[in-house]
Amino acid sequence: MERLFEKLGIYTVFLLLAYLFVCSRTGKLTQEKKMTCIILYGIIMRAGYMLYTGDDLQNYEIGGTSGDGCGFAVKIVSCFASCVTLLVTESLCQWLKLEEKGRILAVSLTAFLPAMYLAGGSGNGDACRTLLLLLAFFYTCKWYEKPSWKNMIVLALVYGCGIMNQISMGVMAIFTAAVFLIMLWKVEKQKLLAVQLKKYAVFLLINLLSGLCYMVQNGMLFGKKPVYVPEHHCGKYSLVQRFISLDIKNLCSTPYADPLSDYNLPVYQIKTALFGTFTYKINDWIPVLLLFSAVILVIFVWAAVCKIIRNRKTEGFLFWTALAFLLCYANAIWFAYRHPYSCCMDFKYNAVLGVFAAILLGRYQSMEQRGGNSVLKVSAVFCICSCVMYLFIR
Amino acid sequence: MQSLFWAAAIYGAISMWLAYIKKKENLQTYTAEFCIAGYLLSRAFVWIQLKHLGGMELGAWVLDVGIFVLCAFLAKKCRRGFSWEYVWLYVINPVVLLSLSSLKKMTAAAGILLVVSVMMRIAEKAHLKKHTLELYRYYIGFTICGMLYLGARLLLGQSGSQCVSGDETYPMIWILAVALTGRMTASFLNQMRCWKQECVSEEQNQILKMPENQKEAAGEPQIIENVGRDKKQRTLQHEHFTGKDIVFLVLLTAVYAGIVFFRLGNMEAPQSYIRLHDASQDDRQMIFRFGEDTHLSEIKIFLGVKSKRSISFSYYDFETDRWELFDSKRNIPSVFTWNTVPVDRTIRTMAMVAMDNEAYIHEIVFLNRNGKRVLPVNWRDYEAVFDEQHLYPKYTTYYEGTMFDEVYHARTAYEFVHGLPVYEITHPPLGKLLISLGIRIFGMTPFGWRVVCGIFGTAMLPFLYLFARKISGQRTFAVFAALLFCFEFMHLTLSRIATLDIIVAFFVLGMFYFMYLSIVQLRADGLSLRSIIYLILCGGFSACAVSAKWTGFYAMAGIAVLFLGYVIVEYASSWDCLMQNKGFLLRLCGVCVCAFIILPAMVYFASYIPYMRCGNSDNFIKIAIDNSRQMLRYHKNTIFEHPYSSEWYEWLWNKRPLLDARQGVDNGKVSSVASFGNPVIWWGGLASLLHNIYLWRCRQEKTAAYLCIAYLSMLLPWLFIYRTVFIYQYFICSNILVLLLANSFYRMERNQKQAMIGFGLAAGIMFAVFFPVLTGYPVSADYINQGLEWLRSWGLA
Repeated sequence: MERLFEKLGIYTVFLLLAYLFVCSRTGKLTQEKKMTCIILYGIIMRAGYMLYTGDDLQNYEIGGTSGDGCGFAVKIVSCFASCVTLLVTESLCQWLKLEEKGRILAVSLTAFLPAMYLAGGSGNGDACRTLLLLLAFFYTCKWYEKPSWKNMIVLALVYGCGIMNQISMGVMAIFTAAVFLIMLWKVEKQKLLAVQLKKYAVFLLINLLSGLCYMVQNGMLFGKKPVYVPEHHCGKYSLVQRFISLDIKNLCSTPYADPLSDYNLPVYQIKTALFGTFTYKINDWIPVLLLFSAVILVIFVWAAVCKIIRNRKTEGFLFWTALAFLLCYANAIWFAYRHPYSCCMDFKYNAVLGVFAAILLGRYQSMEQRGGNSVLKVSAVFCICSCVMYLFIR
Repeated sequence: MQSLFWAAAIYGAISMWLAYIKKKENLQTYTAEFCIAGYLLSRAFVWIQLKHLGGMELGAWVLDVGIFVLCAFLAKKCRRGFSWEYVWLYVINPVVLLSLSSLKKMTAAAGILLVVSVMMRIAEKAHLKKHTLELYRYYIGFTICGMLYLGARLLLGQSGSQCVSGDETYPMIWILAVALTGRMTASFLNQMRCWKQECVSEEQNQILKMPENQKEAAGEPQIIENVGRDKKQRTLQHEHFTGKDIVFLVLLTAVYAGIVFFRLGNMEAPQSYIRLHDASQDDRQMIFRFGEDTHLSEIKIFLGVKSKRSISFSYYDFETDRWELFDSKRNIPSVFTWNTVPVDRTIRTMAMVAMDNEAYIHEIVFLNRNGKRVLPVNWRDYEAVFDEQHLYPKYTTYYEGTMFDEVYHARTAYEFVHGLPVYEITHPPLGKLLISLGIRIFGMTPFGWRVVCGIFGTAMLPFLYLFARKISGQRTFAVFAALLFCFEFMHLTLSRIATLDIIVAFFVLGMFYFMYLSIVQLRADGLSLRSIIYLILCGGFSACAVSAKWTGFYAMAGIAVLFLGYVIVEYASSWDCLMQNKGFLLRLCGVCVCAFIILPAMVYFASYIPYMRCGNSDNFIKIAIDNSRQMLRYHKNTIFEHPYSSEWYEWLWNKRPLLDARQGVDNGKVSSVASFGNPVIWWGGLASLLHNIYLWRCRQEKTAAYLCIAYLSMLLPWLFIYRTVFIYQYFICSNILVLLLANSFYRMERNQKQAMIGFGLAAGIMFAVFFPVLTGYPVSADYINQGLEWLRSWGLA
């Protein structure tokens, strides 16, 4: 059965490639077609990974329920969330008015970022969290642009589901709260202020009711804490070594992360974004090229952040995207500082960073002539290596 | 190999960067002489490092010479578009340099040569002169690939055969190098094709537009004029030295002196001692009676002038009626500090027997299980070792005893004071003689042996202020430089430890300062009395530097290069010029011989006069010569493993600090003293070094040239030194870094004030944050571990 899905996946990829080739030869290859193919391929990758990893992998994540079908059901939810993330990314890019090339780049990077398809096949809440965080950001921006009841209720529900899923959803609440305050500041008349406050109250009610009920029930019935952190202490390293400097020696010694000894957040995040905490039996060329292309892309992401912040007056919601990216990164640092364990630095807890980074790169490629071309080329290497690596995952 | 690799990489990177900048700014100043001199120097450097010369290496060298000659021939005849700038690109290529020194790497060199010749030839063939800057970029890119490849092969032992799935080795840099090379090649070929098409079409267009008489000449290559971009040079009005300067100088010096002398060292230490020697058994042993059974946890011994004494400890067993050994040969290593001997047993009577011919014990403290002092009942029998019990501190930090090399230098200074045979002979005696002055005044106490270094460290500040003032002519920059110098970590640490480095650094700074004054004065009014005085002062400081530590020779070589360079350029640039200034040069030569040969020799030999009092010999000249021979032997063979040793290229980025002292105190606090640089100053200093090299090579800025040569002259000799070395050897260079920084800020064209304030603030904040680990002030170990150990190799607590 697994082999069948595997073969099906590969054949579909070839079919997609052939279709693209034919379209390009006949001059019918539009940007929309390219986008559709990328999204389709992303969905196939996620579904394929979910299917051929089986439900007994990482069964600690589903409380040892493998074998009774429950694990598989959980993974279907994850896979669905991961696929929807792709679609939401595309919508967000469109809403942010990214150029065609930039949109394709952003969606490609989201589709082929290994952490995203690995999360899609895992039986935990990571994929759902990524989706909900993205939706929270999207709907906060949308609500700011058009503060309708519809947007407000959707946002409240997103937060409710998010907190029900994992309490770390709270990071985006800082962003939303700041936007709420800005809106409140903008309201001039007393009457409108009251209306605005009423909206906030409704938001809070929906949010708390939907968000906390599951957690309270869990606490009352099973005595479970809202936060659980396993302890693999990452040693006595200074804050600079852990969060600011780049552990180049580690970066250049192995492409894979070691949860028991790694301590440097930036390097660990890059490595776990690509390979999780696993090692793969692949010819060294693929992971190494994937890693170095990711490092170059990360450099471009920071360049994009700086550039967009500098042009904040003209960039509009893209500036907000850069802020959201910084907020999520700061959260990753704070979380790792509060819980100084290697596993807490895993990229899967901050996978939404990958989506924001992809969008920022999408914008950057049109901002800079030379840098933009380089981003496209490096992204192509990254995506190809990711696809090749995908075929070797067991 | 690592040293050579880094040297070639740094040299190649800077040279290529300069070549690129020059090309960009149309400053083509490469001449045949320049290229030949560069070739000879770079190859001589590699030749010296060459350990083995077999057939393979010989072949490589012959090939290299052949290619150079061929390139030079092409450049001279202007064939195939070759000019001396391309020859220079070959000369400085680090991949070629490394290939000459390492075996079997000729393939890489051949590859690079191919790239060079193909690139330049195609460039000329296709009339692509307007794209030569792009070609430079490719050339640099290919060279980086080559260096990565060699680094992976030579330093990390990586190769293509390791690219196997499933094993634990990942040849990451090798893969990166190969992938980058492939990418560069593809891009280069593609670019070449585009350019060629572009040029052909442009050429055709031009020919079509040209009048008939010009068309014939159109095929000939165009000569690019050396336009030279004139950048506006920043010139500020020279400010005179006024009372304000004196106020700043005094204030800064006073504040800094306060910091240096803050908890410098205890002014008391056990002085009286008992000498255990081998005249008889009784003279070598001490027996202590406690009157009743007493549980001793440990014994603290403040050891006198002889180090590494072996002492046996035994107790009397009243049940068996016998002496029982509980520590037969305990090594008591450090002089003039408290040494610990663990005991942890109940004793009524115990004996200590010195196993060496001679041992000086200044104080003994017995501690019971509660850490309280216990006095034996017969303590009056050995009063000298029990009369200063109150001097035993609860925790023996740097404050109460010797740390790091003080065990040698403070001890030797003490020997000079008391006319004892001299122990430490690996450095000339002047530094230790100066340290002994403090001991004479304040006694053999931590404060006494550190005070002179404190004074020298503080006195460097006015010197540096004056130097920066002279360079810029501006008070602001002098204050800025002096402040940076105050914030320099190693300056503070070395000012608070009785070693020779701060003394040498003081004299070296003086040397460079007076040499600078001499040159300025010579330029202003020839060989006047003032310039002669400056030259003699420079010679005097050189003499003292060399007589304190041989590293002074490196600085002397530096000033020799500077001075000779100046004299040749100004007075002997041609034969006619030389003849014209013959009389002046002869007089100058006479002064220099007195200042730089006779005076240093006199001071050096005179510094050995105190040896005669110490009973070594009556002929101090013979002592000096013998000692110098011994020193040379010692420094040649001093190669050992040390946790804090580091290579010269690691100093540049502050890789491994040296921990001088470390002691845990109450409540998880630690008192530690570490020698390393202020990261802001050292890392910023590297950037400013590049900036100054740029100013020197591209803007012909003389102060920048002076400072760069001063810095390099003290760093480059370490390339050829194979003994175990430590980060503090870089201290003299780091002083010049401060001046380089000041000069860089002085030459800034925009936002100068903001940059200076920002940089100074950053350096000051660093100083405040790291202050505890520079001065041994006790702070929580977590603060050091979590907050201060920025690099993995920084073991500060």
